Amino acid sequence: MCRPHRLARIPSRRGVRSLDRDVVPARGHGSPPQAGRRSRRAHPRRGAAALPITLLVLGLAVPATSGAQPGWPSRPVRLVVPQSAGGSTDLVARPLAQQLGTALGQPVLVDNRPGAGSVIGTEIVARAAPDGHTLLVIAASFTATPALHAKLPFDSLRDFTPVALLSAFPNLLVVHPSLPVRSVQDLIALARAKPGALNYGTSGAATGTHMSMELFMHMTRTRMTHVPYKGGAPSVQGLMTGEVQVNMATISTALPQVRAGKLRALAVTGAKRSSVVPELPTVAEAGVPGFEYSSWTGMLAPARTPPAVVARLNAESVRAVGSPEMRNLLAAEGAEPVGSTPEQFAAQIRTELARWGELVRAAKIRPD
Amino acid sequence: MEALLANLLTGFTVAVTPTNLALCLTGCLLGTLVGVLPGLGPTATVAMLMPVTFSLEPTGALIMLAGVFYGSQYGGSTTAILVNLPGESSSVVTCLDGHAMARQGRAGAALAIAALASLFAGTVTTAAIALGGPAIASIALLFQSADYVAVIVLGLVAAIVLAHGSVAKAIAMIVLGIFLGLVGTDLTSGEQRYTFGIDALFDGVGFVPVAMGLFGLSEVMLNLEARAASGDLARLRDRLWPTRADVRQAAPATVRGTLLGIALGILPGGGSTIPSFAAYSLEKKLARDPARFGRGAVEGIAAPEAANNAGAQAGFIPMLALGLPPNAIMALMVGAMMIHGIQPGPQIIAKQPELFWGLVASMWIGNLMLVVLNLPMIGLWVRLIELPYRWLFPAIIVFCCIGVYSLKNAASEIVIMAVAGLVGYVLRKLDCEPAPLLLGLILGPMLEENFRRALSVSGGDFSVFVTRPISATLLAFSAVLLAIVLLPAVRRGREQLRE
Repeated sequence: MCRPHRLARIPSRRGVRSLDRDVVPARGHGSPPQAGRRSRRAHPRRGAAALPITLLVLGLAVPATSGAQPGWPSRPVRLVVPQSAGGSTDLVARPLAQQLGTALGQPVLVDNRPGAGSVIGTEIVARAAPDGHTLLVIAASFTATPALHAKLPFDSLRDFTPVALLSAFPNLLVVHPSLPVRSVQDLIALARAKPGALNYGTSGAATGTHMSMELFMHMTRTRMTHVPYKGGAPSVQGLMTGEVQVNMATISTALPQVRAGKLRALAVTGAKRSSVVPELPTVAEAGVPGFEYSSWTGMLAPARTPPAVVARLNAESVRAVGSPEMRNLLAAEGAEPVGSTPEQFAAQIRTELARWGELVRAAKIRPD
Repeated sequence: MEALLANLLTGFTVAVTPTNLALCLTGCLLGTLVGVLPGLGPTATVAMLMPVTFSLEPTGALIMLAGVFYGSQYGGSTTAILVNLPGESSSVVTCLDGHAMARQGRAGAALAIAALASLFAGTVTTAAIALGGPAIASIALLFQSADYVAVIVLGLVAAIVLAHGSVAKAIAMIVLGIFLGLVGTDLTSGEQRYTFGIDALFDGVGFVPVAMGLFGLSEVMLNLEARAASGDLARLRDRLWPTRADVRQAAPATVRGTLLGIALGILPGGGSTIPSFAAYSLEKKLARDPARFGRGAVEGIAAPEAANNAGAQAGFIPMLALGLPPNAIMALMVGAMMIHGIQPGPQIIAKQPELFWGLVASMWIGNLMLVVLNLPMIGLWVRLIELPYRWLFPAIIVFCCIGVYSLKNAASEIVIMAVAGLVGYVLRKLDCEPAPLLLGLILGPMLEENFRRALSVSGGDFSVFVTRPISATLLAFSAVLLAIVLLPAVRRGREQLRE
């Protein structure tokens, strides 16, 4: 697909476009193997020095194994993470990049492109050459964003080839211990008795925690007040101060507080119980049949990436998330390695896109 | 007490193993380096080092990463003093008096005071973590959004005090900073404000590019203008070390800065930047002769340097004792623990005593290492400003660009820095201080976020700000402070009282 076509499809973001040309690699499949990142930039000089210098400064060696495959990868692979360094997606992407680098025989470099609710980094990959040298690691908000943002500079289905679902993790439905609520049913009853009186904290408007609470309220026909925080940890702290009473927080942040008796857990939000807290029922079991929400991390490539490359990437990524190192990391997050096939991942993306679209319409969550 | 000594013994046993000492030193060296390089901050460094720590044992990994963080607090002041370029956002205020001292030929004394104040703060904060970590951490749980609003209002009022010169200009600068802070995505509704469809502005105007532009680039411009003909920077005039009088003035300021740093560092969003601003304005308020500030007052270096180091280390308190990271870098530390299968949380001190006490002990060792590293370096650093300016200024600009680019790997940040540099140049020509603008830029969005949250929690009831004791007290205090600054009659009366 050519660029002018896309421009025509989304004329409203013309202002953005000129800026992105600077950062999006110039297309060229025939670039010499040794050229790497540098030659792919439209303006090779601008900032190109940053990465090598940073790496030099930090003494970070990139794996230099040479398992030369014919054709791909012929140069370092860029793994775009549309979050800042240290975010939950970044934490999965970095060990993954290291293992992929060893397996593929070319360095895999994490490129953090945070901003605009992951849109900036995602757009970069949507427009990258589909040659397997630019990949994306993305979080579950990928499927919620289209429902909430009227105008995106990419098409979540058409511009990407799903590679693999890497990990999935349910959240915990937690309440402040002073709340006279012992079960999901109690919470629903209290919220019905006093519509809008209970406050729920989230890690920000239109994030996974917000969407999952909206889904919960929609399915239980309850109303609580949304109180957004800047991130998951502040929202749990807000819950601990008693400022808000309810939260669907990540297991890694909320569980230690539950174990210390500072918060009360009612249920896990996933389709099945979590191996980390097997004693807790799912929200569905506890009285909201059909409710299910899980965060996830997955890998995408630009649309029309050759199937052989996708297959190899899928195999190596699935192997990497199954490694003991990554298992430990994921377990600490309350997550489990999934490692689906590309087809399974594609199906999940389609299902979720439809579900969030429906919820936003039905619950009249105002898109921007 | 015996338990504490036993715990500290455990800690030091862990921390002084050759491996952990080496890791501590590596972390401190890297931290100093990223601190000296403007823009390249500890957060990005820790993120990039994370994969390296997979192969390490968890305590060693944390020791090294922690070293990067507090090491950067030491390094950040170096460029601030020598070339008026804040290596870290927390050294912005150090520029004010530190660079003034350097211009008077006292760069060595300024650097020594910064290092010693940091050591004191590091020692006291380490002791605070050891003695009362969990108890201190629970204070953070008393603060709700309304209370944060009051803290921030106090901070903004303090910023008016911070500026030297015209109060009207200071207020104008703060308001300008708050306006800049409005740019970006609205937290509550997700709406875009003043972004004009430019992706780079969706998350607001970054603090670091603005700070580097306002201070670093505009300084370069002014320097080039001032010595188009005249030649080099101020040469070293007198001895390298602080005088006895310097130490006498710096000591109480260091103590106050440390306490303030701990208090603010444990609050979410506190980090090390806000404490340094707060400490500076406190010193200025307490000084007999506030006019000295900005012209090389020793307290103006000692207090913020102590505060930023104390704030940086106090951030470990909620992270270790509650498992709740108060800032991005602590969130990374939590990530580093989770990679090793350690779940940070309220029980970590009991469950992982070697890790907790080992880290505490290593912080003290690390602070000592940093001073030992930094003091002999002072002689070397001060030579830097004797370099011909035609070599120095291109280097400054290049490092600024690299650092700012590495924040988000986006060229747009460099553009923002360049614009801020031009604006800074104009502002300084107009005698407007950039520091209050920066404080407005940091505090404005926090004020709005907490204000709106406090009101949505209270159901729109404004009385929440006066019915909560913490909030009411702090607001009353701000009102008094503002009255002192704004009412000339009161101010005159106060001056007479002092005499």
